[in-house]
Amino acid sequence: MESFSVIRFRRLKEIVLYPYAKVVAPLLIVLIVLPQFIPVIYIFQLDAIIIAVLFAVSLNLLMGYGGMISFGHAAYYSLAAYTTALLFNHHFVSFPLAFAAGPALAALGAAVLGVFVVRTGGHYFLMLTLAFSQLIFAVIYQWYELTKGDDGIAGLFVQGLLGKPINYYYFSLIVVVISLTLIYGVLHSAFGYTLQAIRDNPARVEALGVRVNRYKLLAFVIAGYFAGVAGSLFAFFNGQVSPEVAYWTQSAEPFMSVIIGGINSFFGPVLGAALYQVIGTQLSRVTQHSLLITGVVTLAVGLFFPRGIVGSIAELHIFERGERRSDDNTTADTGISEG
Amino acid sequence: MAEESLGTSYPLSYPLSYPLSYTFVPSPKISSGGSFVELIIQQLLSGLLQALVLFLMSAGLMLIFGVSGVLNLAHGAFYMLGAYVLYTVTQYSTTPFWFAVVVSVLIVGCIGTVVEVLALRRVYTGGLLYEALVTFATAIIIEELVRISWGSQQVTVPRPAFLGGELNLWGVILPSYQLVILLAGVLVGLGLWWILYHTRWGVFIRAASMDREMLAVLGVNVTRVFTSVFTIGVMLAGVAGALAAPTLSLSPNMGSQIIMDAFAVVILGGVGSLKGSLISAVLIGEIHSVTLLFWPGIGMPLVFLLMVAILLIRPQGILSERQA
Repeated sequence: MESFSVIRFRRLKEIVLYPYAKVVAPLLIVLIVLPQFIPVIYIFQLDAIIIAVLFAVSLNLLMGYGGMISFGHAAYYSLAAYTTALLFNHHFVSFPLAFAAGPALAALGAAVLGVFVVRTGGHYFLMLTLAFSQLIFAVIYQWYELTKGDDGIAGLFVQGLLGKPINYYYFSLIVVVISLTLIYGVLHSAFGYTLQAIRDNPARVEALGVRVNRYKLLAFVIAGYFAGVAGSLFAFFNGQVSPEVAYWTQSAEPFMSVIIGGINSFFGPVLGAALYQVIGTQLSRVTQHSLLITGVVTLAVGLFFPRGIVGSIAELHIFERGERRSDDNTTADTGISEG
Repeated sequence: MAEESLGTSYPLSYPLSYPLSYTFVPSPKISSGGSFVELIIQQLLSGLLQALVLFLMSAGLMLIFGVSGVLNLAHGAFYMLGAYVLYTVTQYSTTPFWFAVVVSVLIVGCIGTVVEVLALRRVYTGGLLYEALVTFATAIIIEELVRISWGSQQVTVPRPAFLGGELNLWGVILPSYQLVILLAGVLVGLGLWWILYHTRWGVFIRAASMDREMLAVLGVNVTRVFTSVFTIGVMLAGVAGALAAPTLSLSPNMGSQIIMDAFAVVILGGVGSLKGSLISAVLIGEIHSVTLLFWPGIGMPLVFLLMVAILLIRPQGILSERQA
């Protein structure tokens, strides 16, 4: 009755030859080749960008496709970052295991919270997700014996091959590309279309016999998992974790990226996160209050270009392509018939 | 972030040292001399104080939400702003304390008006996402501006000299400032009730929360009603911050910490129920201050659990009739 296949893609073609291949393939080649020729500092920046991209896209799965506006996405990010860091540094778990454990715990945290919050919607959902992330922040901040509180956990360095920044960059790139592909696949599976249908008209989908809350819960867990992947990547990228990764400014980052990029598309948040990171790092050279300016920028984008960069460009018909129209906006109906 | 502390004055040997900077820590001079019963009573009183702050905040939150349907995520930021502005007013002038409070609340109200007119007004019809975006961005901008203007370090507002004393109440020694704040807060609450239910303006506000269009058709300037509601709501947060300021150390993240408890009050009390939010504010305030005696740090998870539990058992809140 209910097809609950998340990873079973509708057509393999959608993954291999998906509509954006003409843009994505050259971009990937650039991302692979470029680090060979640029100074290490820029490799770090690229690494930060791709991690932020994954974080933002995981939030967009919730916000853009699930219609669940979460303000506490840093909770899962920080859960994973701290889990990975603690296991690796204090319990001497091997890198792959510690790395895998982070997202798993993040998904678990998302599942525990999700059971309660997917029943609610709108304002309640928003309040509870924000409250949960504040709770995680408070626990990290206060539980000194475990998390070292404000001192954070330093010295997260992988030995061996991944110890070199460029190799860790390639590792991050592989992880991020795989994750993005998986998220894309999830969103273009029967599950993804059903999720979008739920976003557009929950009552109607419910009436069709779909258990709406289960779908929302699964989306919540998947989003938490991939936020966790980003968090674990960040922990080793940064070399240390501090309670800052759980603070609400951290939740603001993917949120603003999604808004800047455009909530109604898959690649909007990718662009938004990249832009946000570039603006943020450039500004933070000049001032330590870069958040102020990015906050103003986001406010301006939200007020004057509510569909974000990608949405506004699409409105201008610069990219007048059939693919874009058929990709995200008109597919909800096919999803219902499959779901 | 690294250099600032969340205002804990407790040794780190506790399982969880208590971070919430709006918590009223009993002054050591009093708590060291008193008996256990006295300590409990003092703690209950400081819980009541916290409840009052939460009630004022959540009343503003609900007023804005009830009329314009906007969940003001910047509410904590305005609370913080109230405290910081009071700090500056008392620092650079010798006005009496109550006057300083009034001035800082008015300043916060002006800032709220500016926010409403410039940004929030445009998104009333834009749905939850854009309302949330505007208020969230406002919160971030205010917090960063406070960091720029006042720095990330903690600052303290000195208690007004004439209220620095203690009051001996049936053998229990209580700091008189807390009692005065309590009284002032109750007066503000009563004033709000009077405005809402006994003035023409209050009729407009209540009508706007029911049917915006009908009110406009009847010839009321609805835009102005919305602006005034947001201003009043924000001023309530400012009052809470200003009244609480002398009892705590101010830091730029105090706003984002109290917002969770304000949400908890709204969820527990039910949207639109002032009585319910009063009860839940007392409950949450007392949870925070009583657990401080036995297990500092358990308060916040407890409040969160309470929030989740009430959503499962009674989603409309403890008193409210309205379906959530």
